[in-house]
Amino acid sequence: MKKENHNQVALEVHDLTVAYHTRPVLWNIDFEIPPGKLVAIVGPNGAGKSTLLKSILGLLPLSSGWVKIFDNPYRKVRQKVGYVPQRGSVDWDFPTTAIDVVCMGRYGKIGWFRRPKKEDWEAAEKFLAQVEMEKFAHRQISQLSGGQQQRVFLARALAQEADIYFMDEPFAGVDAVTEKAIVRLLEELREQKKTVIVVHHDLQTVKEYFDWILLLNMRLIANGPTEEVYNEDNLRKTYGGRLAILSQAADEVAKGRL
Amino acid sequence: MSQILDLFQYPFMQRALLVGLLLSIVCSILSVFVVLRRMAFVGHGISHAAFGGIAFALLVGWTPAWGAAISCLLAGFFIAWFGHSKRISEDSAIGLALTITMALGSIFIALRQSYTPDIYGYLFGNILLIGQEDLFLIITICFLNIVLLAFFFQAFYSISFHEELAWVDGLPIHKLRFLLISMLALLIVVSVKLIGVVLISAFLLIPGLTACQLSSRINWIFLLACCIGSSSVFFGLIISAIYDLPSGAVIVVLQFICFILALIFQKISASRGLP
Repeated sequence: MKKENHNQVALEVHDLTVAYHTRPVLWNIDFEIPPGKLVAIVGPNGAGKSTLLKSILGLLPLSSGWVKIFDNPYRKVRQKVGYVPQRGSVDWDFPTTAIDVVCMGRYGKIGWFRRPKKEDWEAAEKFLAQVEMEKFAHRQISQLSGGQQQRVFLARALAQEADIYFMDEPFAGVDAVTEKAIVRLLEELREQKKTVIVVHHDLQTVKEYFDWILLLNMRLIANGPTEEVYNEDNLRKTYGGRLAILSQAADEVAKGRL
Repeated sequence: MSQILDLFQYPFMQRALLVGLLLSIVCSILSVFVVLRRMAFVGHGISHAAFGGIAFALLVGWTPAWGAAISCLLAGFFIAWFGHSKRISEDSAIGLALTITMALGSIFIALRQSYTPDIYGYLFGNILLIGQEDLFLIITICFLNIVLLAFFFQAFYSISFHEELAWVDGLPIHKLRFLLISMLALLIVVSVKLIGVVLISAFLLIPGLTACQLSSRINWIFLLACCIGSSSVFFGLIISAIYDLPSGAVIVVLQFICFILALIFQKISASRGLP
């Protein structure tokens, strides 16, 4: 099965257009991503990065075009897809524990009207250990730090045991320890020949962490291996003629880091 | 004391206590989901729709519960559909459903030639309205709700936490949302006589909200919500029978007192640094 994946395309997006009411947010997006890559989706604020992820996952209606994951429509391969949403979209006061969150990631596998069995809980513990969060398994998520919360969500994604992962800004607002943990995890996933598609904000680390880059600003600017795609020309096109470093500074200011 | 004991001799009081406790437990469990999913006003919108349905039923001579069931389910689907389509925001949809059904209800009442003495009971609850025939209906609906809750508990928990994640996990989130709203609507229909149209949404909110102040463990929250719901119904019914007060109003006041006490408790334990 894994060997077949090598010859396949992990993700194929064809002619995708997405609009909110009548205002288009993504225009004619067309690209393919081979399996086993760590992919960064890079672009300025409002470029439609999250929208792209959500429309691939069937969370938003498409105005036109289609998406195929491992050569199938999303509905047919849901079991193979994992997702880490943006931190801001989660209600961190929700009464649930770290291990509950991870176990929820397995509902698709165990059948969502069955109770999780002992092996599901054990699996959840294993995935928490993989992100060094086993000590906090029974802690309420409201009592975890931002980085710890992010790691719980990574463990949840692991619990989905998917072949392709979509992560919406997993590095946003996390501490150095968590950042390292995420990078290590991404590398592990790559070793397991998984495809990981990450919305990424930090232009400085993008070259270091990812081997495939998709540059986006409402339209697709470039898509390919990092060494081919990551150049000043493409970045200038993506960031609308402004010097890349300037808009990056603007993003940092927006995030309150500078 | 003997006065209270005498009360339990009356069949109407026995009926009221039985259905009251049963309803309070189911409502309290659902109220936790209502709070977690932030849909307090969905309940409010649906319950007011019951008024329009009851008024229509009284006008044409149907059983009020049928009128209420139809209007509540319609309002629920209307709200759920708009909440899903995002063309109109959910609160606007609730505002529309709530006011149009109240408006139609008042017109139907006015059109009815005869005097309508029981309408006040439908608005604020009157245990004397609960007859033998209601008993069967309420028990059936409560049983149905409990079965559905047991079956779909995890799915509801998961969509309450994060709908998009639940969707990626493979849960049919739209169907589950409709199911939850239908359950609320049916529960509201059978609670109308006990609590009243105006006050049911409190019944579907305060136990869960109060429990969430007291604990952040989900099992405790459900247990506490049930305790708060059922004890407020028990004492509320007794007080309302003794002092001849509208049952729903007394119950809601008691629940509100529980909520205030929970807030005080939470503040004290927070200042002492307890978890």
